Order: sequence, then structure tokens, then C-alpha cells
Amino acid sequence: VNDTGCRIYLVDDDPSVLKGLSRLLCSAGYETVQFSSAKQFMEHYDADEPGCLVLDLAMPGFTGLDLQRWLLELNSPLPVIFLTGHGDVPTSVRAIKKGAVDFLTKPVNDEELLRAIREALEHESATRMEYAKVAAIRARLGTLTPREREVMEHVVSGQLNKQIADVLGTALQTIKVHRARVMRKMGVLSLAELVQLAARAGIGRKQLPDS
Amino acid sequence: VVLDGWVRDSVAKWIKALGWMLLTLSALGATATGPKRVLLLYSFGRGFAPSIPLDTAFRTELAQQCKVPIEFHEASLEVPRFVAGESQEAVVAYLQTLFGGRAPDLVVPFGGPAVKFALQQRARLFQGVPLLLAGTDARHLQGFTLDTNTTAVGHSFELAHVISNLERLRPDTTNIMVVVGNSTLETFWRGEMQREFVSFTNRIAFTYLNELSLKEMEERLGHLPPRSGIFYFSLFVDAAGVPYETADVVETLHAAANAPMVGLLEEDLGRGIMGGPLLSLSQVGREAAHVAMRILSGESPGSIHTPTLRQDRLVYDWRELQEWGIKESQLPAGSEVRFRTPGFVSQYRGRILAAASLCLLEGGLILALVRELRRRRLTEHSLRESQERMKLAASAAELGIWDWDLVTDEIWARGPTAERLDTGQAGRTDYNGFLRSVHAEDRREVVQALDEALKGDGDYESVHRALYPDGQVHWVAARGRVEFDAKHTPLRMRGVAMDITTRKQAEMLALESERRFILMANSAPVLIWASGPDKLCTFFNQPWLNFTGRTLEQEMGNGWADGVHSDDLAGCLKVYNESFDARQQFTMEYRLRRHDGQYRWVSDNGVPRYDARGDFLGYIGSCMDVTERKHAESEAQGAHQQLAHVSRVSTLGELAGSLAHELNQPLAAILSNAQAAQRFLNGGNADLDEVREILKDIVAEDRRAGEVIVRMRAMLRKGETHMAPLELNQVIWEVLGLMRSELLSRRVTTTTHLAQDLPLVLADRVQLQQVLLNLIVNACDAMSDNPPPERRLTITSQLVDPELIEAAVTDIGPGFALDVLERIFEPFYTTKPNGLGLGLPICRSIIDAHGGQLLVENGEERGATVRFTVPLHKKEVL
Repeated sequence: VNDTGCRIYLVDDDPSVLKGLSRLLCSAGYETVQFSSAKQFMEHYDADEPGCLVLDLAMPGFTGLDLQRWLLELNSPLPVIFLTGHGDVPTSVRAIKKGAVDFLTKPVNDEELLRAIREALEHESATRMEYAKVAAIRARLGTLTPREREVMEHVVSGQLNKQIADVLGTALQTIKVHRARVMRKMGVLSLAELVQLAARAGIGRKQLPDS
Repeated sequence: VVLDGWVRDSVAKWIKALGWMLLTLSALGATATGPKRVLLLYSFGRGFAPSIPLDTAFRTELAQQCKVPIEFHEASLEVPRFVAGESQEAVVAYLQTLFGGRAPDLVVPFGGPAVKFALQQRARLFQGVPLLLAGTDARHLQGFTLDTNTTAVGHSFELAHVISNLERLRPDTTNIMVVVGNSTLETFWRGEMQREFVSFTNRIAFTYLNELSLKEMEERLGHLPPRSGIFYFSLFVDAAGVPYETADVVETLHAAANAPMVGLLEEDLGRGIMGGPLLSLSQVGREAAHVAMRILSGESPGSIHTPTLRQDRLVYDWRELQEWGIKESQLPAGSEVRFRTPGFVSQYRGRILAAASLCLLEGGLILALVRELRRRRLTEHSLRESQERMKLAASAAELGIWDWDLVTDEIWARGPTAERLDTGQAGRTDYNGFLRSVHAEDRREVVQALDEALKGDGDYESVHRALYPDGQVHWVAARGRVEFDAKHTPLRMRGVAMDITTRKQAEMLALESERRFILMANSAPVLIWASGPDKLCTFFNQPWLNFTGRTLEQEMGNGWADGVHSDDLAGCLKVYNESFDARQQFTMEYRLRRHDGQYRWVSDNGVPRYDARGDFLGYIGSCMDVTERKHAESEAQGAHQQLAHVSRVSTLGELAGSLAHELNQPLAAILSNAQAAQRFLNGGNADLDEVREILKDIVAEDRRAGEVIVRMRAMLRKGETHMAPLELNQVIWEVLGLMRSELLSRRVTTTTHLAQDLPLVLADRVQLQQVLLNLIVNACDAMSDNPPPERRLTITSQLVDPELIEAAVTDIGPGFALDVLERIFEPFYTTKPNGLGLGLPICRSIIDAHGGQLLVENGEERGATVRFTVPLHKKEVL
């Protein structure tokens, strides 16, 4: 059923729960990797491997929330589904705010878990795609000269060529040339496209001027 | 370490209460009349072997000699079992209760520890009360200055004399084993011995056996090399911590030993020691009684000085001398040898006859002499000779002899009889003269007895009152025999007579004292019984008979047992028989049927009784109806259980979330497994082996969930205390298991230091779990403001005493504020917003009920530790 090549990473300090979950996911056609602690998972984690993390919240030592924080710091796209013994609202809100895909209580129903995993994996692949796009944009950004980059930042922040020339202290014509090169190198035809790319790459988050 | 507030507080309370009590006591004591109240303060308990002769002699002497009635009260420090100091407050409290309204007229501490206690507590307890220190070695009085209201009947053990004595009898001795126990008191004496035996050490090696248990001592003393000797000092508590209360220890050691044993006390002679210079504890007791009498009759104690008693009796056990081949000629001059076997007696018949008691003479001698007379009467010469001998024997025994010629009616008398009878100058009188000397009221009986002897078989016997010429009335016992001729005509009558006034008076005194006892027993508000040495009951007082509504005849022997509730009978008889055999005091409770058919709870307190010579006479006991108290107790017990239940439920309530989690783990595993199996089966290509595995795991997980529920239910259960031997460490693990999730979610890390191979404790599992649960929850609460790495909980267990295991729960929270520490065990006092304030009070009451202690203390820098002890499960010792 699932041929995405995605693995489900299970982290729970209770070996019986780990075994049961693994069997359930196996019966649904997923490949699972089991870890009995957050630390063990961290030692084996490879950011390039696609997949989904099913994580027990309460574990001795490094807890589920600690592991989630660690992944965020790594900028990992790995989606996280929390499993917990009892629904603790503040904790689940905190987890979801930090990007958890879902927060499920034990004992968890198969449909519910599989739905969450499905969504997580979709989310994951979307994220990965987004990551890939951003990576491409970044690569293109890398081809700009410092001056072109400077000009682009002014352009996407909504400044007119004339204003840019004033700020940078160069001729209007020079700005126009730089701007044309930026459009070409970034592979866009319109200013709107450029602004979108820049936003994805995290450049120039200033408001567009009223038009 | 901060001193526990509550300890300080309660001590202060006692002192205050005592101060008030003493003020009241001295005011009342001055004007009180009635029996003199004498408080006997024992070091080791009255049933303790060395105390018995001292105590018995003291009481007997005082009771017999003192003109005013004496009321004895007693208290014991129970020194061998408790560390001194710890129990002193309890004794002080007990004494306060005992003397609720009125101070004693005299306080008599027996033995070193009691003497020390009395002198130390003098200012608090016995102020203004005369103090008589008895049975204490002069060494224990060093360092104390006796005030004018205190005197001592002291003794002094001459330890070196004992060794010199052994050396004199067995000059080749090179090796002496010293039997001495391991109590504080005995450790003191071991030091004294080591000091005083220095002069022997160039030729004798001393080994002190204080580090051995009794069993090990037996083993050791049974395999001594030749030229060894044993000095039995004392064995109150052996190295294994076992206290020995009875004198059997000497006998046990004697039975095991292969070398001669010497000792200090005359009371141990006959139990296995060979003898030597001995101290008589009975004598100490008697001396003390004489001093007590002087104090009670108003003499100032400070003005009474008695010489220190020493081991001045040289007494030996004949059997031991024989066994170790010691001749009597080796003994020092003035030695007395006891316990000769009967065979020996016959060799020295003459000497013994002269010294034998009047009773013996009265019975046996006369018949022997009369028979001899008859055999020899043919020869005048022999007759005179035998009369001479008879006179001799008679005068030795203060017997009077008489000879009545029936033909001439002449009575001829010699000895005391002659002085008594108005025999004139020639020592002669006649029948009428004799009758005149008999008390008018007894005359008829005497005539009748004489008449029967003359007409019958010739034997005359009479006990009657005689009028002495000086007008005094004396009791006389007389025996005689008639000589008949061939036609059975009486010719003469010969016989002896003796003055038995002293014995008769003693008998009457005894009768009087018995009458007094019965009068007292019948007017006492308690049920009193007494039994003989055969365990059968011989007496019940009137209140007993009124209570049961039965007659004395019905209750006698074992008849009383009919009234005991059938459920209590076996236990009741067991306690009675076992205590009886061990000669130990007992207290037991059982249900006794009242005259109206209703069973009432009685508390029965029995003590062995002894005569003046220390011979066991049986038991005497008193019972009180304690039904009301019993009801109150069980109500209180019920209320306490209810409260403990509520507190358990509330503690569990706090943990509810975590417990649910604990249950969710196995449920999660079960659900996942079951749904996986369904999917495998629906998929159509199910691996049956896999499904089988899954089902096996489901069963296992279900069981796990069940166990969680059982544990929770046990905690929620209402129920009676169920004491059973159990492992404390296991209980700790169970509670930690129950709290796993709670500890996880509170991010508390737990470290355990549990001693291995701890003996079992006797406790109620659920109650111990409750205590631990409470303490752990409290510790976690205390650390909730700490950052997670500093939420460390430490649980320890260890053996702290041969009889106690201690468990401690330590946190590193802020510790208790001092004002909190003082109030922490007050019910409904709490520092938590949602707390009931019952946790710690209930924990403490649970631990108290187990016979342990629960204490709270702050750490040196931060944190707090709550520690509690639980007594070990003692295997039945039979």
C-alpha cells in the first residue's frame, strides 16, 4: 500500500508498546524502526531519510518534548506524532505549536494512528518539496554578485529603480542593468514572481508598496 | 542536624507536668494516712533472676516486721532491653501515672541502674521522698553525694577473692573463662575485672566471653583445655542481644562446662557453682528491709549508716567438690558445705541427730527410744544407761522427759517438763498435780487422750496449753507410751514433752495473716485468684465468685476455665501454662462469663509467689473488667482505619492521572497488537505464527494491567490491619512501580540505596505502602520548584538496630521551615493548597502502631529526610 520508501520511527520506553505499535504499522505495510529512548534515536537519526516520528511524550531522561526541540534546532523536516498516556491539554498545545502533526492518547485506535501517519507523510513530502524548491532558489541566489543581491533586496522591498539608484549612489541606468541580470539569473519574468521567490528564501519581508 | 521539634516539645511538656505533679504530691504526702506506700524500682524487672531473692527477702522481711501495713508499688527500667536514657522518660511518665495523687513514703531502687536513675531523677521525681538505695555495688555510688534524705545498703563485690579461692582449691589453674554479658552494666564490670585481676595475669590467662552468644558460650565451655576454670559473673544480655532473665543460665552453662565454675552469689550455689566467698542477696534484701523499717518509723535516712556487705560466707557445694576432687580439708576454716547426698548423712548420724529439728525428734526419736527402752528393760543397768542417754538426748533437744508409775501414781519428770510441772523439790508429782498444770479448757481432751492410751494400744499424744508456775500459758506437745504387763494391765507410762509455743504462735500468726489476706482480697475491687505449685487454683476472692455467680468449689482447680470464652480458652491456657513453667509474670486478656451469662473482657495479671525461703508456691493474680476500654479501643481503631482509608484515597486521587497512565501502557500494547492481528487476518496472507505471538503478548499485557488494578485496589481497600512478615525493600519497589509515571511526569529522578539481605519485618503491607507513597509524594511536592535536574529523590533502607530496619526518603527541596517542623504532625495542619493535612499524622500513627518511629529532619544545607523504623519479625522462640 505504501511504497513511498518512508520509514516510521517509533520511540517509546515501554518495550511492549513499541512491539505492538510496530506490528500494527507493519500490518499496514509500513517499515518501522524502533528506539527505546530519545537518546538512541538521536544517535541513529539521518536528516536525509524521509519518514515520520511516532514519539512517546513521557520518558525518563530526555523526554518527547526535548527530542522535538532538538529536531527543530536541526531544522529537520521530520514530522512528529506524539503519543501520550493521558491527554494533558497544555502540553499538547505546546507540542502542536512547535509543529507537531498530531497528539494522540494511548491506547490509540489503528485508524486514528494510520490517518495521522498518512497526513504526516503527506505533510512531510510537501515539506520536502518545499525544501527542495527553497534549495533551488538558494542555489540561484548564490549565482548573484554582491551588488546584484543588494539591488534585488531593494527591488523586492518595493523600491523604484530611481530610489535604489539614490540609495546606492549610482546611475539609474546601472540599476536597470543589474535588475535585468537579477531577473534572468533568478529565472523569473515578473516582479511578482521575484518577490515570491525572495519570500520563500526568506529575503526582504517588508511590505509591498500600495499600487 | 536540627533537633526534632516535637521531641523537644514533648520532653518539655513532661517536665512541666511532673513539676506540677510533684508540688501536689508533696502537699498530699505530708498529711496522708493509711498504709505506707513503698515504691520498688527495679533495674531489670522483678522476674529477673538476680532480683528475685533480693526482692523476696525485702518484701517478706518488711511485711512481717513492720507494724503498719505496707503497700508495694513497683516499676522497672528494663535495662537489658533498652538503651538507658531512651526509656527513662517512659519510666518517669509511668511513675507519674502510678502515683496519680500521692507520693510514696519510701523509694527503694534495686541494683546499679535503678540507683543511678533514682539519683539522677532525684530532683524531678523523688524530691522530699526518702530514698533507700539497695543492692548496689559501692562502685556505682562513686561520684554521687547522698543527701540527708538518702541512705544506702550497699555491698561490694570482692572480685579478686573469687579468683584466689579458685586458685587455692585448684592451684594448677592457668586459664580462666569469665562469663560476662554484653550489656552496658556488664561492660562496666568487665572493665573492673580486668583492672582487679592484673595481679593474677602473670600466671593465669583471662578470657572474657562477652562477645559470644549463650550457645557459643556453651560450646566454648564444653571444650576447655585442662587446668581451666570458669568464673560466672553474670549474663544479662549475650552478644546476640538476647536477654536472660532466669537463673537457668548458670545451670545451662554448668551442664555444658568441662571445668569447675565459681561465682559471686549465694543464690547461685546449688545451680552449678562450686562455691567460695559468696554474697547473699537475700541478706542484702533483709538488711534493706530493716533500714526501710527505721525510715518508715520516722528516722532520718541520712543518720542511718549500715556497713557495706561483703562476700563473708564461705559456702561450698559438696557435689561440685566431689566432682573436681577437692577435699574438705582444703577449704578455708569456717567453710560450710551444703548439698551432701543422703549416703553421707548416715555416716554422721550422731552429729545430725543433735542438730536436727525439734519436729524430727518429736516424731522419730521418741519411738526409737521407747523401743530401745523396752528391749533393755530387763537389765537395770542397761535401763539406767539408756535413761542417761535419753536424758542427754532430751536435753540436747530441749525435751522434757517424764515417767508415770501407774501403780503408785507417781510422776517423775526431768528437763523443761519438770520446771513446768509443779513437781516439788524431788521432781515428783502425781496425776492430779499434772492435771492442775493443764489449761482448764484443754483438760478434758488430755484426760481423754490418756484414757484412750491406757485402754487402747498404749500410744499417747496430745497438744495442749499448760500453765506454768509463773502463771504464763504455754503450748506443749507430748507423746508417751504405756507399758503393760502380760495381762494388759498398764504398769507405767513414759514419754517426752516439749514447749511448742513459738511454733504455735507462728502458726497462729500465719493463720491470722491468711485471714487478713482473705479479708483484704474479698474487699478488693478486683477479682483475685491464687494457684498452687501444681497450677491448680486454690483460691478465688468473693468479688470473683460474685462476678461469675459460681461457688468456690466450682471454680477450684481448673473449674474456672469453664467460664472462659471458648475462643479465648486455648490462648489463655497457653499463656498461663507457659508463664507458669517459666515462673514469669503474665498479663493477658480474655472473655469471662458473668453471672448474667454475658461475656466480659477481663485483663488478668498473674505473678509467681514465693515463701520467705524463696520456694515457689504458685501464682496469684488479679483481673479487671476491661470491656468498656476494649470497646473504646476498637471504636478508636475503627475510626483510625477509616481515616487512614480516606487519606489513602486522597493520596491515590492525587496520583490518579499517573495511575491511569500506568494502566494505559498495557492497554495501548493490547489494542495495537489486537488490531495488528485483525489486519493480518483480513489481509488473507496471515502468518499464523506471528498471530500466535501476538496473542501471547496480548495475554501478558492483560495480566500486567490486572496487576496494576490489584495494586490500586489494595490501596483503596478498607480493611483491618493484616500483619505479616515481609521484605521492606520489596514494598519500596512496589510503591516505586506504582509511582513510575508520577515520577516521570514530575521529572524526578530516584536513587535507591537499599541494604541487601535484610531480615523480614512484621508489618501490614498496604499500610507500609501508604506511608512510603505519602512520603514520596511529599518529597516530590517539595522539589516541584526546583529545575528538573535538581529533583532528586533518595530512598534508603538499612538495619539500624538488631531489631529495627530503617527506611528513609530524602529530597533536595527547600526543607521544612522551623515553624512548620513544630506543627508537622498536627492533624489538619498543611502547607499545601489542596492538602488534607492528614498525611504525616497518619504515617506516624501507622508507624507507631507497628512499634517503630517516624522522624522528620532537615538536611544540612537544604532538603529534608523523613525516616521511619519497623521492627523485625521475630521467629517464635520456644
